[in-house]
Amino acid sequence: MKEVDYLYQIIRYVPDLERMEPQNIGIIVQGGGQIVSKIWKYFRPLGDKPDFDYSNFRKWRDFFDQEINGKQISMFQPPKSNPEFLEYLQSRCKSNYILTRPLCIVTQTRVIEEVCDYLYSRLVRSPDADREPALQPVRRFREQLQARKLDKHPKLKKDEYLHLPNGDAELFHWQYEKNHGSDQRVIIEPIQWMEKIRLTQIELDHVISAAKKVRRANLNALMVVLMDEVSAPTRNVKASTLQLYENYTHGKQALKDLDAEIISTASESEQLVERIENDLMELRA
Amino acid sequence: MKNIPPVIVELASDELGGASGAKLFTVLAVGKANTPRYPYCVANEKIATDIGRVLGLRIPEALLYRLRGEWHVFSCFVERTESGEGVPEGTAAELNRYFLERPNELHGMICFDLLVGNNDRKTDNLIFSQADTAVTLIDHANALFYRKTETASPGIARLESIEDNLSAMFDKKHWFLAGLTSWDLVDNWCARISELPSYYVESVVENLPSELLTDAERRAVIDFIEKRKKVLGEIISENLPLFPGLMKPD
Repeated sequence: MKEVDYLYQIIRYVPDLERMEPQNIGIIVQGGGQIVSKIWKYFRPLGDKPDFDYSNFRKWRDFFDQEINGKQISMFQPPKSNPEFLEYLQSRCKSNYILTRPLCIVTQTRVIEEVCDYLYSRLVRSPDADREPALQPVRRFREQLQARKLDKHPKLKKDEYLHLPNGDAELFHWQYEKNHGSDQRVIIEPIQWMEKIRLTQIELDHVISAAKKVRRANLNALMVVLMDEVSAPTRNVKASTLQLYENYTHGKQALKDLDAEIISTASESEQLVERIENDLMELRA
Repeated sequence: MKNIPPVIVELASDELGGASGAKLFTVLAVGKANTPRYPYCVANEKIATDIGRVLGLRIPEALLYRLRGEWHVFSCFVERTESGEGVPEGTAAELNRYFLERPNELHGMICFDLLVGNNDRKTDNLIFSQADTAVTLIDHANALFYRKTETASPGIARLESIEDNLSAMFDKKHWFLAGLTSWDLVDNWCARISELPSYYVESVVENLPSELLTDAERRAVIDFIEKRKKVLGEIISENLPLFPGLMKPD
């Protein structure tokens, strides 16, 4: 089989510019008139770096995506199939996100994606280490909290009672206090789909009751509810199961009526975690 | 504790006095010095920056300091997040969109480069700030006296060669020559450039530290800019093949 030459670059993140100890976070491969890239989507830096700037990481990820996969802009970029394009990309990366110089790899495959996958698994992250992110919002929320080490953040309280102004108390899953002028409390409650509608319904009842208590007590609070999508029951189920499913769908509206913010997709969960991270960073500042 | 070097630090000194309460700070900056490959780096950067700024272009100020016996030119332009990390300096698409909406700025940049003989204009010498929706021009070390390349000699010889022949300026590709598309805008910028005060050009050059340029080099660069500022429009119209976006003037 004929050997094929490719050029590749490693995308690196430098957590500390004084120490310079870059971590490999992505690969760019060019050859055969094509260019492809693969970037570690859920990257978190090694070691303890609770202040990792995830939103800046996303900006850089979008930057690489647009430069590599976006439309060719001839006055501003060399042709993407030209090795000069890799030097151009390198010149656009300064400070914490950098690229290696173009490096050479010779293989026997003509499929550039295979080369990219090979380099990514060798130099960035092995397939064993990759775990697919959860599709449902509650699990994705938990994963993201963990990935950003917010689950251990002292200001994000878990499973704690909140004493309400009218003397009532209620147990909440997650809560923290925003303290930049608003003194607002943010309460986050999950309603997870656990394959059994009855169990999910119990969670929903608890959350609706808690939301009512919060509103009744006039607490300055933002109530956020993470609601997994519940599978619709099959036709042959008992009437009581059907009733529970209907209750669940109506429950969403009941929570909205109580001014709760509903998070019903995994990507909304990610945005919520980002918001929490920013709020907690401001608390520290 | 952040791991990123801070951009600005107020020092624990007493206030310096004065009604406005001046204090001491250290500021993170990008710096350059002359090298055997770039023997005129500091002078080129300082003269071109000061002229560009007075023409109204967005160029970060160039500050000269002597460090370990060598003159350095410093400027501050790295945009950082609150966490101290550098942000992307704009995608090609963002820059393209910016200049499509602001052709006057694109024409100003190109006319300025032609005035000071700067051929090193490419995307990484433009910084797009999303926060300000503005493009900043950086890196003018290859203007004026230039550096030694396979075909160019630095110093006075470089000024003379591009005075005789504009094409001699482009031994290195300037990416934006095709961006000149409007004679009206070219004329506006050439008119502005022609009004550049002679006393200003002289003071920019004369105020450079004595080690950076000889008397002959100072005279040469002042003469170069003084002559060129009056004839830039003619130079452009005489070299139309270099500017494929410009039609022959009426």
